[in-house]
Amino acid sequence: METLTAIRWSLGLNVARGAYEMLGALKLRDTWAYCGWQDIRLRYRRSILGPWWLTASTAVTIGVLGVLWSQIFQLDIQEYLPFYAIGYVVWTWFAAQINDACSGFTQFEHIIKQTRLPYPTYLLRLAMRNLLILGHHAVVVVAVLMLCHVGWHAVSWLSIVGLALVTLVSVLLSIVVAICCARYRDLPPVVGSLLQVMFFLTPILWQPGALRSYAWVVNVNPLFHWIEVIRLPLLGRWPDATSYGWTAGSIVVLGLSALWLLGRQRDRIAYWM
Amino acid sequence: MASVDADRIVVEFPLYNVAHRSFKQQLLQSATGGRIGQRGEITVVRALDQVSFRLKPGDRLGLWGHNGSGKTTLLRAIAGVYRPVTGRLDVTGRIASLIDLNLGMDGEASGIENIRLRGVLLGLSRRESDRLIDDVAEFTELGDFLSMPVRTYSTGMHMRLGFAISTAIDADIVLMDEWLSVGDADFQKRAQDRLTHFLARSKILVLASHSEQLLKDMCTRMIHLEHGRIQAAWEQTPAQAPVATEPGRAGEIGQAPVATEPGRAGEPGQAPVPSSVGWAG
Repeated sequence: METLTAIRWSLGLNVARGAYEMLGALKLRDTWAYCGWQDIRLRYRRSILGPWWLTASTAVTIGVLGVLWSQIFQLDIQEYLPFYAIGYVVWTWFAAQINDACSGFTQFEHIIKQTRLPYPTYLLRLAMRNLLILGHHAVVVVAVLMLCHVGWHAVSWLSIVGLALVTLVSVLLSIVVAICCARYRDLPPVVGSLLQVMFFLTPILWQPGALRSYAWVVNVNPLFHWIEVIRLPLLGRWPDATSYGWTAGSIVVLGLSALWLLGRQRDRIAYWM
Repeated sequence: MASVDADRIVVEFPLYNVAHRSFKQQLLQSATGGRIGQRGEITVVRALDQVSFRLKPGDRLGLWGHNGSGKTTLLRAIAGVYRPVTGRLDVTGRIASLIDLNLGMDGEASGIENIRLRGVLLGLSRRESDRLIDDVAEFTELGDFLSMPVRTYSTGMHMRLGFAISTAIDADIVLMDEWLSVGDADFQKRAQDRLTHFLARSKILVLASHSEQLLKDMCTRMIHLEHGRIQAAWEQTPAQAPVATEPGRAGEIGQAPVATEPGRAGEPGQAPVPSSVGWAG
Protein backbone atom coordinates (compact mmCIF):
# COMPACT_ATOMS: atom_id res chain seq x y z
CA MET A 1 0.00 0.00 0.00
CA GLU A 2 2.73 2.38 0.97
CA THR A 3 4.75 1.65 -2.14
CA LEU A 4 1.66 2.29 -4.22
CA THR A 5 1.20 5.69 -2.63
CA ALA A 6 4.87 6.44 -3.17
CA ILE A 7 4.64 5.51 -6.83
CA ARG A 8 1.55 7.63 -7.26
CA TRP A 9 3.34 10.56 -5.65
CA SER A 10 6.40 10.25 -7.84
CA LEU A 11 4.23 9.96 -10.96
CA GLY A 12 2.29 13.04 -9.99
CA LEU A 13 5.43 14.94 -9.13
CA ASN A 14 7.08 14.15 -12.46
CA VAL A 15 3.98 15.03 -14.46
CA ALA A 16 3.72 18.33 -12.56
CA ARG A 17 7.39 19.08 -13.25
CA GLY A 18 6.88 18.22 -16.91
CA ALA A 19 3.82 20.47 -17.10
CA TYR A 20 5.80 23.31 -15.57
CA GLU A 21 8.52 22.80 -18.17
CA MET A 22 5.92 22.70 -20.96
CA LEU A 23 4.23 25.89 -19.76
CA GLY A 24 7.60 27.60 -19.63
CA ALA A 25 8.20 26.62 -23.24
CA LEU A 26 4.78 27.77 -24.39
CA LYS A 27 5.41 31.14 -22.78
CA LEU A 28 8.54 31.59 -24.89
CA ARG A 29 6.31 31.93 -27.93
CA ASP A 30 8.53 34.49 -29.60
CA THR A 31 11.56 32.25 -29.19
CA TRP A 32 10.29 29.18 -31.01
CA ALA A 33 8.06 31.05 -33.41
CA TYR A 34 10.87 33.35 -34.56
CA CYS A 35 13.48 30.61 -34.71
CA GLY A 36 11.15 28.33 -36.69
CA TRP A 37 10.20 31.12 -39.06
CA GLN A 38 13.85 32.05 -39.46
CA ASP A 39 14.70 28.43 -40.36
CA ILE A 40 12.29 28.67 -43.29
CA ARG A 41 13.57 32.08 -44.37
CA LEU A 42 17.06 30.65 -44.57
CA ARG A 43 15.82 27.92 -46.89
CA TYR A 44 14.57 30.63 -49.21
CA ARG A 45 17.96 32.26 -49.05
CA ARG A 46 19.80 29.12 -50.11
CA SER A 47 17.60 28.62 -53.15
CA ILE A 48 15.03 30.93 -54.66
CA LEU A 49 12.40 28.24 -54.57
CA GLY A 50 13.04 27.52 -50.90
CA PRO A 51 10.51 25.06 -49.52
CA TRP A 52 8.59 25.27 -52.82
CA TRP A 53 11.19 22.89 -54.15
CA LEU A 54 9.86 20.26 -51.74
CA THR A 55 6.32 21.22 -52.68
CA ALA A 56 7.12 20.68 -56.34
CA SER A 57 8.42 17.20 -55.65
CA THR A 58 5.35 16.45 -53.53
CA ALA A 59 3.14 17.65 -56.37
CA VAL A 60 4.91 15.39 -58.86
CA THR A 61 4.66 12.40 -56.53
CA ILE A 62 0.95 12.98 -55.98
CA GLY A 63 0.26 13.58 -59.65
CA VAL A 64 2.13 10.54 -60.94
CA LEU A 65 1.38 8.06 -58.18
CA GLY A 66 -2.19 9.30 -57.89
CA VAL A 67 -2.86 8.34 -61.48
CA LEU A 68 -0.91 5.09 -61.13
CA TRP A 69 -2.64 3.91 -57.97
CA SER A 70 -6.08 4.85 -59.21
CA GLN A 71 -5.42 2.60 -62.21
CA ILE A 72 -4.09 -0.26 -60.09
CA PHE A 73 -6.95 -0.07 -57.61
CA GLN A 74 -9.36 0.62 -60.48
CA LEU A 75 -10.78 3.67 -58.77
CA ASP A 76 -12.24 6.79 -60.28
CA ILE A 77 -9.41 9.32 -60.39
CA GLN A 78 -11.72 12.17 -59.37
CA GLU A 79 -12.59 10.20 -56.30
CA TYR A 80 -9.13 8.84 -55.49
CA LEU A 81 -6.80 11.75 -56.14
CA PRO A 82 -8.20 14.13 -53.46
CA PHE A 83 -8.14 11.28 -50.92
CA TYR A 84 -4.55 10.41 -51.76
CA ALA A 85 -3.33 14.01 -51.98
CA ILE A 86 -4.64 15.01 -48.55
CA GLY A 87 -3.43 11.83 -46.87
CA TYR A 88 0.00 12.07 -48.46
CA VAL A 89 0.55 15.74 -47.57
CA VAL A 90 -0.61 15.25 -43.99
CA TRP A 91 1.58 12.19 -43.65
CA THR A 92 4.64 13.95 -45.10
CA TRP A 93 4.20 16.72 -42.53
CA PHE A 94 3.67 14.40 -39.59
CA ALA A 95 6.53 12.06 -40.50
CA ALA A 96 8.90 15.00 -41.02
CA GLN A 97 8.08 16.31 -37.54
CA ILE A 98 8.76 12.93 -35.90
CA ASN A 99 11.93 12.40 -37.94
CA ASP A 100 13.15 15.86 -36.96
CA ALA A 101 12.32 15.08 -33.34
CA CYS A 102 14.86 12.22 -33.41
CA SER A 103 17.56 14.88 -33.38
CA GLY A 104 15.29 17.35 -31.58
CA PHE A 105 17.80 17.92 -28.79
CA THR A 106 21.08 16.74 -30.33
CA GLN A 107 20.85 19.23 -33.21
CA PHE A 108 20.60 22.07 -30.66
CA GLU A 109 23.42 20.77 -28.48
CA HIS A 110 25.33 24.04 -28.81
CA ILE A 111 22.40 25.94 -27.31
CA ILE A 112 21.51 23.36 -24.66
CA LYS A 113 25.07 23.41 -23.30
CA GLN A 114 25.11 27.19 -22.94
CA THR A 115 21.75 28.24 -21.67
CA ARG A 116 18.78 26.70 -19.97
CA LEU A 117 15.63 26.95 -22.04
CA PRO A 118 12.58 24.80 -21.26
CA TYR A 119 13.21 21.71 -23.37
CA PRO A 120 9.91 21.62 -25.31
CA THR A 121 10.97 24.98 -26.80
CA TYR A 122 13.25 23.11 -29.22
CA LEU A 123 10.44 20.83 -30.37
CA LEU A 124 8.01 23.71 -30.75
CA ARG A 125 10.61 25.33 -32.99
CA LEU A 126 10.59 22.19 -35.15
CA ALA A 127 6.78 22.14 -35.10
CA MET A 128 6.69 25.74 -36.26
CA ARG A 129 9.12 24.95 -39.06
CA ASN A 130 7.14 21.93 -40.22
CA LEU A 131 3.80 23.72 -40.03
CA LEU A 132 5.18 26.42 -42.31
CA ILE A 133 6.31 23.76 -44.78
CA LEU A 134 2.85 22.18 -44.52
CA GLY A 135 1.46 25.58 -45.47
CA HIS A 136 3.47 25.38 -48.69
CA HIS A 137 2.37 21.83 -49.42
CA ALA A 138 -1.27 22.73 -48.77
CA VAL A 139 -1.20 24.50 -52.12
CA VAL A 140 -1.00 21.09 -53.81
CA VAL A 141 -4.05 19.93 -51.86
CA VAL A 142 -6.00 23.05 -52.80
CA ALA A 143 -5.08 22.57 -56.45
CA VAL A 144 -6.14 18.92 -56.43
CA LEU A 145 -9.43 19.71 -54.68
CA MET A 146 -10.22 22.39 -57.23
CA LEU A 147 -9.20 20.19 -60.12
CA CYS A 148 -11.45 17.40 -58.91
CA HIS A 149 -14.33 19.75 -58.14
CA VAL A 150 -14.38 19.06 -54.42
CA GLY A 151 -15.91 22.20 -52.97
CA TRP A 152 -15.50 23.82 -49.56
CA HIS A 153 -18.34 22.80 -47.29
CA ALA A 154 -19.36 23.93 -43.85
CA VAL A 155 -17.92 20.70 -42.48
CA SER A 156 -14.56 21.49 -44.10
CA TRP A 157 -13.84 23.95 -41.32
CA LEU A 158 -13.55 20.95 -39.01
CA SER A 159 -10.30 20.06 -40.75
CA ILE A 160 -8.72 23.05 -39.04
CA VAL A 161 -9.81 21.70 -35.67
CA GLY A 162 -8.41 18.35 -36.75
CA LEU A 163 -5.11 19.91 -37.75
CA ALA A 164 -4.85 21.67 -34.39
CA LEU A 165 -5.47 18.40 -32.55
CA VAL A 166 -2.94 16.47 -34.63
CA THR A 167 -0.38 19.26 -34.22
CA LEU A 168 -0.74 18.78 -30.48
CA VAL A 169 -0.32 15.03 -30.94
CA SER A 170 2.82 15.57 -33.02
CA VAL A 171 4.40 17.88 -30.44
CA LEU A 172 3.67 15.50 -27.57
CA LEU A 173 5.00 12.53 -29.51
CA SER A 174 8.07 14.60 -30.47
CA ILE A 175 8.88 15.14 -26.79
CA VAL A 176 8.85 11.40 -26.13
CA VAL A 177 10.87 10.62 -29.27
CA ALA A 178 13.42 13.39 -28.67
CA ILE A 179 14.11 12.34 -25.09
CA CYS A 180 14.50 8.66 -25.99
CA CYS A 181 16.69 9.43 -28.99
CA ALA A 182 18.91 11.75 -26.95
CA ARG A 183 19.56 8.93 -24.51
CA TYR A 184 19.81 6.02 -26.95
CA ARG A 185 21.69 6.93 -30.08
CA ASP A 186 20.66 3.85 -32.05
CA LEU A 187 16.96 4.74 -31.90
CA PRO A 188 16.63 7.27 -34.77
CA PRO A 189 16.98 4.63 -37.52
CA VAL A 190 14.41 2.50 -35.69
CA VAL A 191 11.98 5.43 -35.62
CA GLY A 192 12.65 5.98 -39.33
CA SER A 193 11.82 2.40 -40.26
CA LEU A 194 8.75 2.37 -38.04
CA LEU A 195 7.45 5.46 -39.82
CA GLN A 196 8.11 3.78 -43.14
CA VAL A 197 6.13 0.70 -42.15
CA MET A 198 3.31 2.80 -40.75
CA PHE A 199 3.06 4.71 -44.01
CA PHE A 200 2.09 1.51 -45.80
CA LEU A 201 -0.01 0.17 -42.94
CA THR A 202 -2.12 3.33 -42.71
CA PRO A 203 -4.80 4.04 -45.32
CA ILE A 204 -3.02 6.72 -47.30
CA LEU A 205 -2.39 4.92 -50.59
CA TRP A 206 -5.31 2.58 -50.18
CA GLN A 207 -8.76 3.28 -48.89
CA PRO A 208 -9.87 2.17 -45.43
CA GLY A 209 -12.61 -0.11 -46.79
CA ALA A 210 -10.14 -2.17 -48.82
CA LEU A 211 -9.05 -4.53 -46.05
CA ARG A 212 -12.47 -6.18 -45.58
CA SER A 213 -11.92 -8.95 -43.00
CA TYR A 214 -8.85 -7.21 -41.57
CA ALA A 215 -10.68 -3.93 -41.06
CA TRP A 216 -9.75 -3.97 -37.36
CA VAL A 217 -6.12 -3.34 -38.33
CA VAL A 218 -7.23 0.04 -39.59
CA ASN A 219 -9.47 0.79 -36.67
CA VAL A 220 -6.84 0.22 -33.99
CA ASN A 221 -4.25 2.30 -35.83
CA PRO A 222 -4.23 5.74 -34.17
CA LEU A 223 -2.43 7.21 -37.17
CA PHE A 224 -5.49 6.41 -39.30
CA HIS A 225 -7.74 8.37 -36.95
CA TRP A 226 -5.33 11.30 -36.78
CA ILE A 227 -5.38 11.55 -40.56
CA GLU A 228 -9.14 11.06 -40.77
CA VAL A 229 -9.97 14.09 -38.61
CA ILE A 230 -8.15 16.24 -41.17
CA ARG A 231 -8.92 14.36 -44.36
CA LEU A 232 -12.66 13.63 -44.16
CA PRO A 233 -13.82 17.22 -43.50
CA LEU A 234 -11.79 18.38 -46.50
CA LEU A 235 -13.57 15.77 -48.61
CA GLY A 236 -16.85 17.21 -47.36
CA ARG A 237 -17.67 14.38 -44.94
CA TRP A 238 -18.04 14.12 -41.20
CA PRO A 239 -15.34 12.15 -39.42
CA ASP A 240 -16.51 9.33 -37.15
CA ALA A 241 -16.92 10.08 -33.49
CA THR A 242 -14.50 7.18 -32.90
CA SER A 243 -11.80 9.06 -34.80
CA TYR A 244 -12.18 12.01 -32.46
CA GLY A 245 -12.26 9.58 -29.56
CA TRP A 246 -8.96 8.02 -30.63
CA THR A 247 -7.40 11.42 -31.22
CA ALA A 248 -8.51 12.75 -27.83
CA GLY A 249 -7.36 9.51 -26.20
CA SER A 250 -3.94 9.81 -27.89
CA ILE A 251 -3.60 13.34 -26.61
CA VAL A 252 -4.30 12.23 -23.05
CA VAL A 253 -1.99 9.19 -23.18
CA LEU A 254 0.82 10.94 -25.09
CA GLY A 255 0.38 14.05 -22.98
CA LEU A 256 0.80 12.17 -19.73
CA SER A 257 3.74 10.13 -21.02
CA ALA A 258 5.45 13.18 -22.49
CA LEU A 259 5.03 15.25 -19.32
CA TRP A 260 6.06 12.37 -17.09
CA LEU A 261 9.16 11.63 -19.16
CA LEU A 262 10.00 15.30 -19.36
CA GLY A 263 9.61 15.79 -15.62
CA ARG A 264 11.73 12.74 -14.94
CA GLN A 265 14.53 13.34 -17.43
CA ARG A 266 14.73 17.10 -17.91
CA ASP A 267 17.71 17.46 -15.60
CA ARG A 268 19.63 14.74 -17.39
CA ILE A 269 19.19 15.82 -21.00
CA ALA A 270 22.10 18.27 -20.86
CA TYR A 271 24.34 15.50 -19.53
CA TRP A 272 23.53 13.32 -22.52
CA MET A 273 24.73 15.88 -25.05
CA MET B 1 17.94 40.92 -5.78
CA ALA B 2 20.79 38.80 -7.02
CA SER B 3 22.34 35.88 -5.25
CA VAL B 4 24.02 32.56 -5.87
CA ASP B 5 23.83 30.04 -3.10
CA ALA B 6 25.63 26.75 -3.55
CA ASP B 7 25.48 24.17 -0.83
CA ARG B 8 27.70 21.10 -1.28
CA ILE B 9 26.83 20.73 -4.93
CA VAL B 10 28.02 17.67 -6.85
CA VAL B 11 28.01 17.45 -10.62
CA GLU B 12 28.73 14.08 -12.18
CA PHE B 13 28.98 13.17 -15.83
CA PRO B 14 27.96 9.68 -16.82
CA LEU B 15 30.56 8.21 -19.15
CA TYR B 16 28.49 6.16 -21.53
CA ASN B 17 30.21 3.63 -23.71
CA VAL B 18 28.69 2.48 -26.97
CA ALA B 19 26.64 -0.22 -25.27
CA HIS B 20 25.11 2.20 -22.80
CA ARG B 21 24.00 4.44 -25.61
CA SER B 22 22.46 1.57 -27.49
CA PHE B 23 18.83 0.71 -26.92
CA LYS B 24 19.39 -2.73 -28.43
CA GLN B 25 22.23 -3.54 -26.05
CA GLN B 26 20.24 -2.35 -23.07
CA LEU B 27 17.34 -4.52 -24.13
CA LEU B 28 19.54 -7.60 -24.57
CA GLN B 29 21.26 -6.98 -21.28
CA SER B 30 18.03 -6.67 -19.39
CA ALA B 31 16.96 -10.01 -20.88
CA THR B 32 20.18 -11.80 -19.97
CA GLY B 33 21.13 -9.60 -17.07
CA GLY B 34 22.60 -11.09 -13.94
CA ARG B 35 23.74 -14.28 -15.56
CA ILE B 36 26.45 -12.79 -17.67
CA GLY B 37 27.03 -10.08 -15.15
CA GLN B 38 28.10 -7.49 -17.68
CA ARG B 39 25.54 -4.96 -16.66
CA GLY B 40 28.43 -2.99 -15.25
CA GLU B 41 27.78 0.28 -13.56
CA ILE B 42 28.14 3.35 -15.72
CA THR B 43 31.39 5.11 -14.91
CA VAL B 44 30.85 8.60 -13.68
CA VAL B 45 33.26 11.46 -13.62
CA ARG B 46 32.81 13.79 -10.73
CA ALA B 47 33.32 17.25 -12.20
CA LEU B 48 32.29 19.15 -9.09
CA ASP B 49 32.60 17.70 -5.63
CA GLN B 50 30.91 19.21 -2.60
CA VAL B 51 31.30 22.79 -3.75
CA SER B 52 29.80 25.41 -1.46
CA PHE B 53 29.81 29.18 -1.58
CA ARG B 54 27.42 32.04 -1.24
CA LEU B 55 27.48 35.16 -3.40
CA LYS B 56 25.71 38.41 -2.67
CA PRO B 57 25.46 41.61 -4.69
CA GLY B 58 28.86 43.24 -5.05
CA ASP B 59 30.76 39.96 -5.09
CA ARG B 60 33.24 39.34 -7.88
CA LEU B 61 34.16 35.71 -7.64
CA GLY B 62 37.28 34.38 -9.33
CA LEU B 63 37.43 30.69 -10.17
CA TRP B 64 41.00 29.65 -10.52
CA GLY B 65 42.29 26.28 -11.62
CA HIS B 66 43.85 24.23 -14.37
CA ASN B 67 42.12 22.78 -17.40
CA GLY B 68 39.59 20.24 -16.29
CA SER B 69 39.42 21.50 -12.73
CA GLY B 70 35.69 22.16 -13.05
CA LYS B 71 35.61 25.91 -13.71
CA THR B 72 33.47 25.83 -16.82
CA THR B 73 31.24 23.13 -15.37
CA LEU B 74 30.61 25.33 -12.36
CA LEU B 75 29.76 28.27 -14.61
CA ARG B 76 27.35 26.10 -16.55
CA ALA B 77 25.81 24.78 -13.36
CA ILE B 78 25.16 28.36 -12.25
CA ALA B 79 23.68 29.07 -15.69
CA GLY B 80 21.23 26.22 -15.06
CA VAL B 81 22.55 23.91 -17.76
CA TYR B 82 23.80 21.17 -15.44
CA ARG B 83 21.63 20.52 -12.47
CA PRO B 84 23.66 19.22 -9.52
CA VAL B 85 23.17 15.55 -8.73
CA THR B 86 23.19 16.31 -5.03
CA GLY B 87 23.42 19.49 -3.03
CA ARG B 88 21.47 22.66 -3.43
CA LEU B 89 22.05 25.48 -5.87
CA ASP B 90 19.82 28.53 -5.72
CA VAL B 91 20.34 31.30 -8.22
CA THR B 92 18.22 34.43 -8.27
CA GLY B 93 18.62 37.20 -10.80
CA ARG B 94 18.96 37.48 -14.53
CA ILE B 95 22.01 35.65 -15.82
CA ALA B 96 24.23 36.69 -18.69
CA SER B 97 26.51 33.94 -19.84
CA LEU B 98 29.54 35.16 -21.74
CA ILE B 99 30.90 31.63 -21.99
CA ASP B 100 30.13 31.35 -25.68
CA LEU B 101 29.77 34.65 -27.50
CA ASN B 102 28.42 32.91 -30.57
CA LEU B 103 25.44 31.28 -28.88
CA GLY B 104 22.79 30.37 -31.42
CA MET B 105 24.46 32.30 -34.22
CA ASP B 106 23.69 31.13 -37.72
CA GLY B 107 26.20 31.71 -40.49
CA GLU B 108 23.56 31.95 -43.20
CA ALA B 109 21.49 34.54 -41.36
CA SER B 110 22.30 38.23 -41.56
CA GLY B 111 23.81 40.19 -38.70
CA ILE B 112 20.46 41.74 -37.84
CA GLU B 113 18.72 38.37 -37.87
CA ASN B 114 21.41 37.03 -35.59
CA ILE B 115 20.79 39.84 -33.14
CA ARG B 116 17.11 38.91 -33.07
CA LEU B 117 17.91 35.21 -32.82
CA ARG B 118 20.11 35.77 -29.79
CA GLY B 119 17.54 38.06 -28.24
CA VAL B 120 14.76 35.51 -28.43
CA LEU B 121 17.07 32.70 -27.29
CA LEU B 122 17.76 34.72 -24.17
CA GLY B 123 14.03 34.90 -23.58
CA LEU B 124 13.31 38.39 -24.91
CA SER B 125 10.23 39.04 -27.01
CA ARG B 126 10.57 39.87 -30.69
CA ARG B 127 10.02 43.54 -29.96
CA GLU B 128 12.56 43.62 -27.15
CA SER B 129 15.08 41.91 -29.43
CA ASP B 130 14.52 44.54 -32.09
CA ARG B 131 15.50 47.21 -29.59
CA LEU B 132 18.98 45.70 -29.32
CA ILE B 133 19.71 46.30 -32.98
CA ASP B 134 20.55 50.00 -32.79
CA ASP B 135 22.87 49.58 -29.86
CA VAL B 136 24.73 46.68 -31.48
CA ALA B 137 24.90 48.41 -34.85
CA GLU B 138 26.33 51.55 -33.31
CA PHE B 139 28.91 49.73 -31.27
CA THR B 140 30.11 47.22 -33.89
CA GLU B 141 30.26 49.83 -36.69
CA LEU B 142 29.45 47.00 -39.07
CA GLY B 143 27.11 49.26 -41.06
CA ASP B 144 25.79 47.61 -44.19
CA PHE B 145 27.47 44.36 -43.26
CA LEU B 146 24.68 43.82 -40.75
CA SER B 147 22.36 42.90 -43.58
CA MET B 148 24.85 40.41 -45.03
CA PRO B 149 25.08 36.75 -44.00
CA VAL B 150 27.38 36.36 -41.02
CA ARG B 151 29.43 33.71 -42.83
CA THR B 152 30.80 36.47 -45.06
CA TYR B 153 32.29 38.23 -42.01
CA SER B 154 35.95 38.14 -41.10
CA THR B 155 36.80 36.49 -37.78
CA GLY B 156 37.20 39.90 -36.21
CA MET B 157 33.83 41.12 -37.41
CA HIS B 158 32.23 37.92 -36.25
CA MET B 159 33.69 38.34 -32.78
CA ARG B 160 32.63 41.98 -32.62
CA LEU B 161 29.07 41.03 -33.36
CA GLY B 162 29.01 38.19 -30.84
CA PHE B 163 30.60 40.38 -28.20
CA ALA B 164 28.25 43.29 -28.80
CA ILE B 165 25.13 41.12 -28.66
CA SER B 166 26.32 39.32 -25.54
CA THR B 167 26.87 42.58 -23.71
CA ALA B 168 23.71 44.29 -24.96
CA ILE B 169 21.33 42.94 -22.36
CA ASP B 170 21.84 43.95 -18.76
CA ALA B 171 22.07 41.15 -16.24
CA ASP B 172 22.33 40.70 -12.49
CA ILE B 173 24.79 37.85 -12.67
CA VAL B 174 27.53 37.71 -15.28
CA LEU B 175 29.35 34.46 -16.02
CA MET B 176 32.65 34.71 -17.87
CA ASP B 177 35.13 32.09 -18.98
CA GLU B 178 38.43 33.92 -19.29
CA TRP B 179 38.57 37.62 -19.93
CA LEU B 180 37.10 38.80 -23.18
CA SER B 181 39.22 40.56 -25.64
CA VAL B 182 38.18 41.15 -29.18
CA GLY B 183 39.31 42.95 -32.29
CA ASP B 184 42.17 45.19 -33.25
CA ALA B 185 43.89 47.58 -30.87
CA ASP B 186 41.49 50.46 -31.47
CA PHE B 187 38.42 48.32 -31.12
CA GLN B 188 39.85 46.55 -28.12
CA LYS B 189 39.81 49.68 -26.05
CA ARG B 190 36.18 50.35 -26.90
CA ALA B 191 35.36 46.72 -26.17
CA GLN B 192 36.99 46.99 -22.77
CA ASP B 193 35.00 50.15 -22.04
CA ARG B 194 31.80 48.44 -23.01
CA LEU B 195 32.62 45.40 -20.91
CA THR B 196 33.51 47.57 -17.96
CA HIS B 197 30.19 49.34 -18.09
CA PHE B 198 28.37 46.10 -18.64
CA LEU B 199 29.98 44.63 -15.54
CA ALA B 200 29.39 47.79 -13.56
CA ARG B 201 25.66 47.48 -14.17
CA SER B 202 25.65 43.87 -13.01
CA LYS B 203 25.62 42.80 -9.39
CA ILE B 204 27.61 39.60 -9.33
CA LEU B 205 30.48 38.45 -11.52
CA VAL B 206 31.82 34.93 -11.70
CA LEU B 207 35.02 34.87 -13.72
CA ALA B 208 36.88 31.64 -14.47
CA SER B 209 40.51 31.75 -15.50
CA HIS B 210 43.82 29.90 -15.53
CA SER B 211 45.50 33.11 -14.65
CA GLU B 212 45.90 33.85 -11.00
CA GLN B 213 47.14 37.33 -11.83
CA LEU B 214 44.02 38.25 -13.77
CA LEU B 215 41.81 37.12 -10.93
CA LYS B 216 43.92 38.95 -8.36
CA ASP B 217 43.35 42.10 -10.35
CA MET B 218 39.65 41.65 -10.80
CA CYS B 219 38.04 39.75 -8.02
CA THR B 220 36.97 40.33 -4.46
CA ARG B 221 36.76 36.63 -3.73
CA MET B 222 38.64 33.63 -4.97
CA ILE B 223 38.02 29.94 -5.20
CA HIS B 224 40.81 27.61 -6.17
CA LEU B 225 39.39 24.51 -7.80
CA GLU B 226 41.27 21.30 -8.29
CA HIS B 227 39.66 18.10 -9.55
CA GLY B 228 36.30 19.65 -8.89
CA ARG B 229 36.99 20.34 -5.23
CA ILE B 230 37.55 23.64 -3.54
CA GLN B 231 41.23 23.64 -2.56
CA ALA B 232 41.09 27.04 -1.03
CA ALA B 233 38.79 30.02 -0.87
CA TRP B 234 39.63 33.47 0.32
CA GLU B 235 38.60 37.09 0.14
CA GLN B 236 40.91 39.69 -1.25
CA THR B 237 41.14 43.28 -2.32
CA PRO B 238 41.51 43.49 -6.07
CA ALA B 239 44.94 44.76 -7.05
CA GLN B 240 43.33 47.26 -9.32
CA ALA B 241 41.24 49.15 -6.83
CA PRO B 242 37.59 49.06 -7.75
CA VAL B 243 36.47 52.27 -9.34
CA ALA B 244 32.95 53.43 -8.86
CA THR B 245 31.69 53.67 -12.37
CA GLU B 246 29.60 56.59 -13.37
CA PRO B 247 28.63 57.48 -16.90
CA GLY B 248 30.56 60.77 -16.71
CA ARG B 249 33.81 59.08 -15.88
CA ALA B 250 33.79 56.68 -18.75
CA GLY B 251 36.83 58.35 -20.26
CA GLU B 252 39.07 57.42 -17.38
CA ILE B 253 38.40 53.77 -17.59
CA GLY B 254 40.76 51.78 -19.63
CA GLN B 255 43.64 54.18 -19.25
CA ALA B 256 45.36 52.31 -16.50
CA PRO B 257 48.38 50.26 -17.54
CA VAL B 258 47.46 47.07 -19.27
CA ALA B 259 48.48 43.97 -17.41
CA THR B 260 49.89 41.41 -19.72
CA GLU B 261 50.84 38.00 -18.65
CA PRO B 262 53.28 35.76 -20.47
CA GLY B 263 51.44 32.56 -19.60
CA ARG B 264 48.38 33.55 -21.50
CA ALA B 265 49.93 35.01 -24.55
CA GLY B 266 50.16 31.75 -26.46
CA GLU B 267 46.57 30.78 -26.13
CA PRO B 268 44.45 31.07 -29.19
CA GLY B 269 41.87 33.76 -29.05
CA GLN B 270 43.15 35.13 -25.79
CA ALA B 271 44.76 38.41 -26.51
CA PRO B 272 46.40 40.49 -23.78
CA VAL B 273 44.43 41.16 -20.72
CA PRO B 274 42.41 43.87 -19.31
CA SER B 275 42.66 47.44 -18.76
CA SER B 276 41.41 48.55 -15.44
CA VAL B 277 37.95 47.53 -14.61
CA GLY B 278 35.69 49.41 -12.35
CA TRP B 279 32.65 48.18 -10.64
CA ALA B 280 30.05 49.45 -8.35
CA GLY B 281 28.92 46.80 -5.89
